[in-house]
Amino acid sequence: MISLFINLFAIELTKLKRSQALLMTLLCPLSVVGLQFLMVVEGSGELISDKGWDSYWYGAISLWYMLMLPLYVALITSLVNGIEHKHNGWRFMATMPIQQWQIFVVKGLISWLFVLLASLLMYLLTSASIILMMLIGYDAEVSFTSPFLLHLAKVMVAALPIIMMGHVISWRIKNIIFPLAIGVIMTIIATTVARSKYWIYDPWTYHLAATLNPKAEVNIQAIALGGALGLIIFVLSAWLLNKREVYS
Amino acid sequence: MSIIEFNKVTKSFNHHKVLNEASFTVPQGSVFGFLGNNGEGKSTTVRLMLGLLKPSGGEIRLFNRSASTVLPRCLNNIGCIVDAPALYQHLTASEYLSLSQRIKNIPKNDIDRVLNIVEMLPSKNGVIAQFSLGMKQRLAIANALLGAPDLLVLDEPTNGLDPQGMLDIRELLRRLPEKTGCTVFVSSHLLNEVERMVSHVAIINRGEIVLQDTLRNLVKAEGKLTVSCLETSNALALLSAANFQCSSNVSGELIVSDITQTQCTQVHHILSKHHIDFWQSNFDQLSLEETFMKICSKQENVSSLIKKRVA
Repeated sequence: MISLFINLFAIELTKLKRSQALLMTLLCPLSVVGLQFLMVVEGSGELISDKGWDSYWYGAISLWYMLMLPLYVALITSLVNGIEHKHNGWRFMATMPIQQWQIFVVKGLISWLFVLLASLLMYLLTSASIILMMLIGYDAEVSFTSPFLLHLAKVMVAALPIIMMGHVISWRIKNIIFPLAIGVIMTIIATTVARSKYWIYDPWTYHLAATLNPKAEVNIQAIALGGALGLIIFVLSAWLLNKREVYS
Repeated sequence: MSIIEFNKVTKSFNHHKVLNEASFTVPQGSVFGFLGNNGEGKSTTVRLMLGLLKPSGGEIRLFNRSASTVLPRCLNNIGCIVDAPALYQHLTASEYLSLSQRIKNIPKNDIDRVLNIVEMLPSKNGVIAQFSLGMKQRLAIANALLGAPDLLVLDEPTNGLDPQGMLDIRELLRRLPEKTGCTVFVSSHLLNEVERMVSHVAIINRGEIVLQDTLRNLVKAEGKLTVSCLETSNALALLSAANFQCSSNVSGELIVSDITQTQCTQVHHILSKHHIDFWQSNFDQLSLEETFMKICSKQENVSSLIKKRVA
């Protein structure tokens, strides 16, 4: 079983060759870091004058978690499943000696790993931008022990429901616009709902509540909710999709 | 031993029966032609066979075991093409084949072997999107041949191929059973093409299997007798009276249609008995295409008769 999953993992990565998944994984964090960089340069270092690089990190984290991460989730899940829709791949995979749930699990895992990779790249690019700014004369207290890495584990659990929902929607719906539109709409809604007491009803706010909310109990609640809901969606969908007939 | 067995298999979509109690068996080592017009249920049958669809009723057996218990595991031993080939256009030919090779745990060097069979080895590193339709079809066939499976299920395998490509694939499929012992199931509507490669035939019409036999029996069974005689009108009357379907052609020859080889002797006997001299008598077997058309039109007639009676 393990060797089957390793093989499936390898073939899913092969399918992503020339699909621009890696390019998107680089461009999304790069756009956030680029924006932050420009804000510092434009304000002649005002952003880092009070709290040093911590405020720079906070700005990058806020932009990444509030805006780019949920959009990236919609993008990568659409891409991972869109390959099958585009090339009649479901039919191809259905003629292989594997169960549909196994493909679902591997694709879900790949989407999750891509989100992790993009977040790690976000950390590396932010660090690189700090080094670059220091080299060109922006001086502030050095801080690479940013809250970003501390938050990463929490985010990867709390964001499970949106990764899984994006995965299920893009698995079921052929038109790539639909999962992308849902991602954009829910991201915009989440920026408002995250500040209200109703955040609990919107899974798109869980990763924000787990990191950006100052209350520790809210952080824990969001992580627990995200982990549990994400796993339920994952297991239930894998079970239900396994019964699906392949028409395409 | 039968490799594929359909026992009264039914498949409905929204209460519309696409397959109606279809029963047929595919003997081991045969090249089995599954024939029917477009939209008659050929692809549905193939999809049911491979587990892409689930039957609404009846039983499907693969390798002498119930399909529901052996699928999808037994797909390791089945190479297939379903409808238009599903190809990941952004991959190269070898990357595409590596997908099946990895899942089925086939040695990597088998990729070169199958590419060589379909004469695609020089295009091994070419991106599929840049291939012609025929090259894509060859690649799909290569994918089906990967790992030398015991059963090949091919839905319209010669689609998009040029005449030489068709000939090559036909020869390849025809010889496969004796070379490797594998069984080939070919679904097609290109009857002339199929006639040259299959050993067994089943015909599907309106979701029902209307006939299954060996190709030899099927085309041998009936034919047309052309008799050159002097008294054609007399002969016509005599044979019509004996319930033969007769007519004459522009050359004045007597044509007896829907006749078996043994009935030819009867015709000769009747003519001799009534002192009608004939100097030439030719029996032409029906081609698969003619047999197919005949069977389908017979079924159409029966259906319309039933409809009329019900009305």
